Amino acid sequence: MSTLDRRDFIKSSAASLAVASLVASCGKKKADDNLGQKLGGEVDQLGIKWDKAVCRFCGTGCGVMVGRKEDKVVATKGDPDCYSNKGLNCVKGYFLSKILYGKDRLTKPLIRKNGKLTESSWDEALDLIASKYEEILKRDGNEAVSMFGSGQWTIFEGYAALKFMKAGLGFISKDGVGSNNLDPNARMCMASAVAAFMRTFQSDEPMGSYEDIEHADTFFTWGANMAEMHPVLFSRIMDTKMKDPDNVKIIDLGTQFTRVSEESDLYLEFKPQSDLAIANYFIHYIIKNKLYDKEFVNDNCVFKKGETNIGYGLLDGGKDIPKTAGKMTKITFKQYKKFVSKFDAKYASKISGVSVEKLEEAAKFISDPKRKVVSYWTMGFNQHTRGTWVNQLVYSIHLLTGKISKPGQGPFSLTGQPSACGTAREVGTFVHRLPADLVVKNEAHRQIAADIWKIPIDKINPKVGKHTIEMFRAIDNGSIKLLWVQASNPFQSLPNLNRFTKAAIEKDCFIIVSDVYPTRSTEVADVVLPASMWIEKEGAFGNAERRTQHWNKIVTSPGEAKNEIWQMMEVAKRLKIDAHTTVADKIYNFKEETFYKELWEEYRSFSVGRAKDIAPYEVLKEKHGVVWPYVAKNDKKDFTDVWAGIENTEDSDYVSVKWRYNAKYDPYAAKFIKDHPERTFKDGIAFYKASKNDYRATVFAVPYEPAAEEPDNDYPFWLCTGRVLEHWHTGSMTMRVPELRRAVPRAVVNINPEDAKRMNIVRGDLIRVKSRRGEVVFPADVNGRTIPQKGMVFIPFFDETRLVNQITLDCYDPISKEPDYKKCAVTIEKA
Amino acid sequence: MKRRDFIKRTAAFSAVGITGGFSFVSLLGSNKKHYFRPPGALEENQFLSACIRCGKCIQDCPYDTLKLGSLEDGINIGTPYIDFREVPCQMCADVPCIAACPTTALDHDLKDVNKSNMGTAVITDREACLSLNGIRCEICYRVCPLTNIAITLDKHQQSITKKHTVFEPVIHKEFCTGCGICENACPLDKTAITVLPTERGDKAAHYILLREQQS
Amino acid sequence: MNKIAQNKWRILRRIVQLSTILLLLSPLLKLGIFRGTLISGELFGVLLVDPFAAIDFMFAAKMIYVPLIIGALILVGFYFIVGGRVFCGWVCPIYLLSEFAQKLHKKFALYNMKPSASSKYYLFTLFLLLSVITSKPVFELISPIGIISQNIALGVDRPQTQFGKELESSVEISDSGYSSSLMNDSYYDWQILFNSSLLLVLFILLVDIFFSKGWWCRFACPVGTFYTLLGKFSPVKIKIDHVACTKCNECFDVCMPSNVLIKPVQGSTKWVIDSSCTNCLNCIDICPENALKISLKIKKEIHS
Repeated sequence: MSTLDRRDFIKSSAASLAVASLVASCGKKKADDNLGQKLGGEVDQLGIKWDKAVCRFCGTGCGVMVGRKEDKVVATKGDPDCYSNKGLNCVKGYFLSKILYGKDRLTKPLIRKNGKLTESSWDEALDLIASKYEEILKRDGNEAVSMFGSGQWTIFEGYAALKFMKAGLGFISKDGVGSNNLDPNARMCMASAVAAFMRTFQSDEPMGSYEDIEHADTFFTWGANMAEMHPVLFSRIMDTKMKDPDNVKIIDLGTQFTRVSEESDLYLEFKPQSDLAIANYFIHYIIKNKLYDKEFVNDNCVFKKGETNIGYGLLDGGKDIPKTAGKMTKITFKQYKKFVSKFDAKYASKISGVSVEKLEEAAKFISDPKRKVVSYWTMGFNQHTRGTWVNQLVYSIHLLTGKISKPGQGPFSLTGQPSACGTAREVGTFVHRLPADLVVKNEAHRQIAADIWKIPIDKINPKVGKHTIEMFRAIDNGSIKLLWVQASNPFQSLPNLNRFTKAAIEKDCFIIVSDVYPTRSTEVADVVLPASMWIEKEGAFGNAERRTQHWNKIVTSPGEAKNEIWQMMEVAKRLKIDAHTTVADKIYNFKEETFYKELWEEYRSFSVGRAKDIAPYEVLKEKHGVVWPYVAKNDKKDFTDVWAGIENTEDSDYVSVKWRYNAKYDPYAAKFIKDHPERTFKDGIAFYKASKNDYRATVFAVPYEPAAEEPDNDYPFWLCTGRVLEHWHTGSMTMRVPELRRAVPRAVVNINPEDAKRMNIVRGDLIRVKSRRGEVVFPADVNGRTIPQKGMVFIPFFDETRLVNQITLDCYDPISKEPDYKKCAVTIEKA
Repeated sequence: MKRRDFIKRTAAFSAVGITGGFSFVSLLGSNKKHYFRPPGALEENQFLSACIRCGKCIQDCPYDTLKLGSLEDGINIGTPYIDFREVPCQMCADVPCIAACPTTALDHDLKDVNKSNMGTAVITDREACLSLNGIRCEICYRVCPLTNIAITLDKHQQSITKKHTVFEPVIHKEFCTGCGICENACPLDKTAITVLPTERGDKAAHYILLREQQS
Repeated sequence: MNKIAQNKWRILRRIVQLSTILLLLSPLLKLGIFRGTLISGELFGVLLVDPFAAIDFMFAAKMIYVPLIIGALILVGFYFIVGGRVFCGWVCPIYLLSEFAQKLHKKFALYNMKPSASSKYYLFTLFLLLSVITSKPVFELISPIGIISQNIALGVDRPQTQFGKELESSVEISDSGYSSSLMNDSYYDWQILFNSSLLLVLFILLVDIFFSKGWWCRFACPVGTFYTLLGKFSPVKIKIDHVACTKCNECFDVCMPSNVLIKPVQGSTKWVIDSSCTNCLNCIDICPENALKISLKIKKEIHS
């Protein structure tokens, strides 16, 4: 006791008291879902075992330290050693551990019997699931089963699920191939960014890192309310701003006045969908005023034109989408110049409603060669029927000006889920993908997977599966007979929800939901499997700056809750290929003690040498997050010649690549440049993954096209949906934290003050919001934290008692297949 | 017979004594607590004179914000008051409580509820306040019905990381209505932001602060 | 049948008394007739104020507020016409409770103290004086009429949450047997919230039962006293038929302000002129000779 620092003692005991008072008692622990996981952590003087973990919410990837005593989390703190947040959190992160202890945690498997979910044993539930898989796969083939996953899956889980669907089921299905009907909820979140990255650079995920924030002096936020959605990152931006308030500028482009707009130096409020026109105007401005980096463009860019009138995916099967929707045709710079010439300030102003002066001011900032510009965006761009286009247009701006892959300069697509990058994108839990940017269509890629998985290549299905919206439409049409939902709540988050919920209840589709709390999705399930969450299992997330962060199992899960890998493995064990082998033997043939390590290393072998190198298991376990591509110093065989020139900022043992494609930071780029002495690379930047384009990034030409549904006389308002700082996504976790629920207990409809005045609406009035698909009642908020533009309303989607998605439209981007939650037409009236 | 009579008498006297005694002791007992009144309430002493304890405002409050004073509230028995932590004033634009008042206890001339003055929010615990510690909370700022008017954010660098901004909620007395929505929403058990009576820390009138010169 | 005829006034009165309580519950039952309490309320949107409370307000706050006075005058006019203490006998819930307490008094009484009949006038004056001196409406603090009607009108509450009255969920909750806790929260229970001020009412009733029959209504309540004063000029009175009256004195037993019948029965007057009479009409019901009836006293009678 004498060695104990008094202040530490007081601090930690206060923290333990605070959390301990909430800790629910955990049920008896069963060892059989451990798969080699051991409760980890270092013990401090108070007997609290501290271990690192990652925040369970947004894509920022804030590190936290979790303190446990016995089997309970008694304290949490921000992780100062995590580069992504340096020890700070937002208020959601502050209450992070309370999400484990909601009073209605699911602790027993439930099976629907006579319409009611009834508690059952694991064996009964798993046998039932396995028999359904067997029956449906043998009768209807691989296309009748589907899995809806998540960017909240741990990387381990995502990889296990990918293997289960794409490799494992091939051994059972009548057509002898696995199923590609595996899509994550990241489809509703990041797909447009993915498509644009692939089409521009042929490699997914941002080139920059959060460190851009400290280097940049001009921040463009495109329809991204970072102040609320990426709170810790925004506080870094504000810090840069405060250090040099006159020089550092925040330029906010959006359809509504948010807390970012409040802090911005210039706010451009544009009509929904007209971001296409504004981005094109910026390009026009850059070219007209010769502000583009000629040398850089010559070295690194290729010009392409997109198809137009590509449809909105409103018809089932995407029948309104032309086959060539994603086609890009090479054009010359002259043609490109001609194409954008019509997007002058007047034209852009007419479409967007932003004044010519403001447009010009913003254009000056983004094109100024002296300014270090970084662009941030999230759902405003991605949930967009032309999301891929608008993403690509911003890349085009940065490519033309050469403001890319350099400290403080670059386009940066933020993510909304903790592992949208790590699990959905890197593992490739999409209908068309395999790990490390490989795709199922490509035979060479399938061969790589088949070799790693040690299965015949013909077990891997080359046909792209049904993406999210079509997957749920297929349930309504009867062609999908089985759906397994994991770590997601689609029956609150899908657009045009009424149709899909009705289908789930009425149609003959066996729905399995693995979740931690009862949600709108468990309500329509035939089997509910209680899952362990977050630190109740070993896991890893990958955040928006390509940082992979691992945590150990820290506490056991309550009752009989089990992690998803165990669940899939048990089902696989019950799927018998012949008398002696099961599917599990084919896909999860790892020793129990080293299960996670072997799984990781197998997954890692996809990425090594492809400039997507994920860090080895042991390194991840030790470090507080490692950025990929991971190139270790003592493993520099390929990089001997270039090693000396690489600058590193984080760790001495390995290179953590803060700016991809930049030879100063990325050994792959350095090596590539060295290997291509015949070419010049301005600023040492080489897009070495773009092999199909002669290693050049694509500058893209597409026009403005209207939204799928625009306001008219019957439905005169735009509806935009989104989040608030206090709650995360469908609220199934944060709404169970009493403090957060107290702060924001219900969703409200934000109305523009002028509209409210005209309609005689005041704060607190109940407003019926109607669209062609349904109606929901919300209390009004006028002049609150979010002020939509005139003729638009904004409603967050976290509130499960008022489902805004009952009125949203299930249109999607024909290229990325990501639905547009930000634009549909509604009418409002006092209820 | 006598014994029964005795019990009867004791029971009767004690029942009457206890109820009566308790009532009068409670009523006369002094209560130092500040009672926060509905929007438009007169100055406390005048309010207590003018309120006839009819309870109409309490009944007409659509959010059950107003509570009814009971015996232990002494002189405040029967009067309306607000416990912000339980239910704050939701600032109805039509101010139904004022409309309900049959006397002048609530000011019938107050048409704009945003001009009411039930109290003033104050950051009462700077050490505990999450926002001041660099945690991105600022719930009080965002839930305030007068967003960015009654509470604004002062920004300065977080002293430990030197990379992040502290968004410090600053309350402006001249605009804060004391509705208590911030106090209600504060995520701490013992709130870091609390509504206090407005009459406090009034500076002398002879000096005009720089801030006031600017606005 | 006979029994109903014999008790017709009592039954009618009970119906009116219970209607008062129903009126107080009107907002809860969504009847839309009445809002407020017996101190002040709105009947079909017309503001009514207890006249004594209005006087109290003016004495305490020392100001005149016209809407309040109008609200009080409406009631003054009404009770002037129907007969002053009709409020006590037919409307006031404390009187109703007191009536039951008096029944218990018969069984459990230890004493039956009878302060002087004029004590209520002293108290009336005292309360108003206190209001002037303290600048607080002193009687309204302890008014059992206010307390009981507040407790009836505000006591039963709709479902509550920490952030006020809950909006109804706009989502149908399917009966899956496993709904989310967010949908069916324990916050949403109905609750009856009684206020500790009800102890004061209990005190009055206990004294009623053990020590002094109907003491509050007979000797203390200044509201009743106000109506007594008002009733002096009211035309609605009980008239006695001296020819039919056999002086059996049965009516004395059912009369709460019992002394009001003495003079008329003894024959010194044809009218129950003492305005302490609450026009409860129990005496009419009980009279075996039907010697009593309710009648309009317009002209001034000459006492013999």
